[in-house]
Amino acid sequence: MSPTTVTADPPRTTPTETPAPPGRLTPALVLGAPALILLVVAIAAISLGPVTVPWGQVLQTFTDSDAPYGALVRDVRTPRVLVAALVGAALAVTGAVLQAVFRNPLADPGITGVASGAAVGAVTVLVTGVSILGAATLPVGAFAGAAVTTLVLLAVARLRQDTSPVTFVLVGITLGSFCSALTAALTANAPEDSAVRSVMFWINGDLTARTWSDVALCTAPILLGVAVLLSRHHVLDVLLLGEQTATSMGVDVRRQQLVLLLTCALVTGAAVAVSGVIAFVGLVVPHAVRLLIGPRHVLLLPASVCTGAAFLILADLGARLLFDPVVLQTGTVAALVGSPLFGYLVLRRSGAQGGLA
Amino acid sequence: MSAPLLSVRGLRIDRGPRTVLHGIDLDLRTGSVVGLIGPNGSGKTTLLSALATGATVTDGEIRCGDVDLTTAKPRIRARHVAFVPQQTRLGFDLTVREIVALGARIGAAPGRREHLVERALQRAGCAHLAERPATRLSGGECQLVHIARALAQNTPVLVMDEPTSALDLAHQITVLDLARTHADTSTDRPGGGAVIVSIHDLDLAARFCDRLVLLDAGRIVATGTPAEVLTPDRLARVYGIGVRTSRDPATGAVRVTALSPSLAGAS
Repeated sequence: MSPTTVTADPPRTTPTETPAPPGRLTPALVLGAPALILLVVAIAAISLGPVTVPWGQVLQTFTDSDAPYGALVRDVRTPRVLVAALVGAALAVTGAVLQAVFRNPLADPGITGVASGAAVGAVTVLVTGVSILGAATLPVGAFAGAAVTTLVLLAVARLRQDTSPVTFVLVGITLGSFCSALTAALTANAPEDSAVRSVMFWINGDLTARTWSDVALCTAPILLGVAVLLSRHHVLDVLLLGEQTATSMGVDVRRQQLVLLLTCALVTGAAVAVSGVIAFVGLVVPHAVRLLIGPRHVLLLPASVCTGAAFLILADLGARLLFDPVVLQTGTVAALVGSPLFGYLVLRRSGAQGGLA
Repeated sequence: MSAPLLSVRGLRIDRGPRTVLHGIDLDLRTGSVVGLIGPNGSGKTTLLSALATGATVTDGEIRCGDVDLTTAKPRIRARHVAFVPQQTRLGFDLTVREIVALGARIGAAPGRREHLVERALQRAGCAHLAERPATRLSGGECQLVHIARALAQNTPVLVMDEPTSALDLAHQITVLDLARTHADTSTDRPGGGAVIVSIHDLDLAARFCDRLVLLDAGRIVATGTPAEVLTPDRLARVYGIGVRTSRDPATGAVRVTALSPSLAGAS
C-alpha cells in the first residue's frame, strides 16, 4: 500500500489589524497628575475642618510664626495629613510590589502577617496601660510587634533555605492567625472596659490626634523602604514573567524576593505603627492605577505612592467631616469606599477578559 | 572543528535522594539545532532549565566560552543563554513590546535596544501584536512573544523547552523555522548561534534538527543525526512501544510511526 500524498497551498491571508490598546497615558502626565492631585488634596485637607482655614493662610502659617490659626495648622492638621500621606503611600506601594512578587492581584500588605504582629504590640500597650515612652509607647509597641514578626519571617526563610513566595504566604498566614489569637486573648482579658474600646479603634485604623512625634517615627523607615522598592522597578517587571523566566533573564530571583518582602514588611510595620490596621488601600490603589497606566513599575510605583497618599488623606478628611456626629475612623472610611470600588474593578475586569491576571 | 559554543561535562543533578541526571556530556556547535528527545520524566526539562538558569546543579560544569554557567552570576549567564520556558502564561497587562523590551535590556546598550526589539518582533512574526496586552494573546501568540523576548536577549545560545507542544500545525513550523534561523544567522555573531530544543514529536525533531540527543532515565542513550538516533529497536526499547520508521516523501526526513500493541505483531 503506498501512502497517499495530498498537498495544498495555504490561502492568502492578510494579517488581521489589531486595535490599539486602551490608551496609555504619557509618562509626564502619569507622574505629574497624581503628584499635583496629592498636593491639592493635602492643602485642602489642612484647610478644611470644623474651623476652615483659607488656602492663602495655610501657606502663610509655614512662613510666618504669628499667622492666625498657626497652632491649628502646624500642630494639629499638618502632622495628621502627613501621617495619612506617608501611611497611604506606604500601603499602596507595598501592595503594588507584593502583587508583582506573588504574581497575584489579591496580595496586599496584610499578607506577610506583619500588620497582625504590629497589632499584638499595640494591643499589649493599650491593655496593660504601659506608658514608659509617653505618647510614643503605642507606636513603638506596634513597631516592635512588626519587627518581631519580620524577624520570624526571615528566620523561617533562612532556616528552611526557602524564600519562595508560597512559603512566605503560608508563614505569613500562620503568623497572622497566631497574632490575631493573641490579640483576642489580650483584649478579652483587658482589666478595663475603656481599653477594649481603644483596641477596637486601633484595630480599625485611626489617625485622630496624630502628632509630629508620629511623623518622626514613621518617616525614615517609610521613605527609605519606598526608595528601595522604587529602585527595583525593573526587577519587578521581569518577575511578572514568572520565576524561571526571570532567573534566565539575569535576575537573582530568591535574593531579590527576600529583599523586596523584607522591605515591604519594614514599610508596612512603620505604617501600621502610627495608623493602626488600614485595609484596602494596598489592594485597591495599585489596581486602579494599573488599570489607568499599565503594569510597568517604573511608572506604577511612583503613581501608586502619590495616589495612595491622596486616597488616605481624603479618607481621613471624610472621617473627620462626614456624618458628624457619627464617629467614623480613617480605616473604616477607607474600607467603606475601598470595598465597593474594588468589587467594581474586579467585576469590570473579569467581565472584560475572564480573569484577574 | 571549531570549539563548541556550549559544552556540558559530567552534569549531575540530584533532587533529594534521587539522581535526575547522571553525568551528562553534551556539545552545542555554532550553526546547529539540537533536538532533545525522550519519554516523559527522562530529565529533558531538568537538563534545559539547568542550561538556562543554572538551577540546582549537583556536579559537573556547563561552559560557554570561558564562562562556567553553573557558578556565573545570573546577569552574566543571561548574556550567553536565552530561555523559552514550557509554561507560557504571561503576567499582567504588559504589552508585547514591553515584554520584548525586557529581553533587549540584557541584549544591548540603551541606544541599540529599540533596534533589537523591532528585529526580534519581526523575526518572531509578532510585530503586528506589538501593542497588544499579553493577557489578550492566544497560546500560540504567547509562545511567539516568549521567543521574541528570548531573541531580543541577543545571546549565542537559545534553549527552548517543548515550544511546539501547545501549538497548531502552522505555529509549530513557524517556531521551528525560527530555531533554524537563529542557528544559521543568530544575532550579531558570525556563523550564527546554537539552539537546543526539547520536542515530543519525533517527526518534527527529525525534520528540523541537525542532531538529536535521546535521553532515558537521566542518561543520554544516543546522539547523532536523526537517522542515526531514530532506529526502531532503540525507540522500542526507550519508549516501550513498537515503532516503524520510514522516509517522509515530502521532506525526506525520518518519519516515526508508533504501533499499538495489536499492530506491532503484524509488522
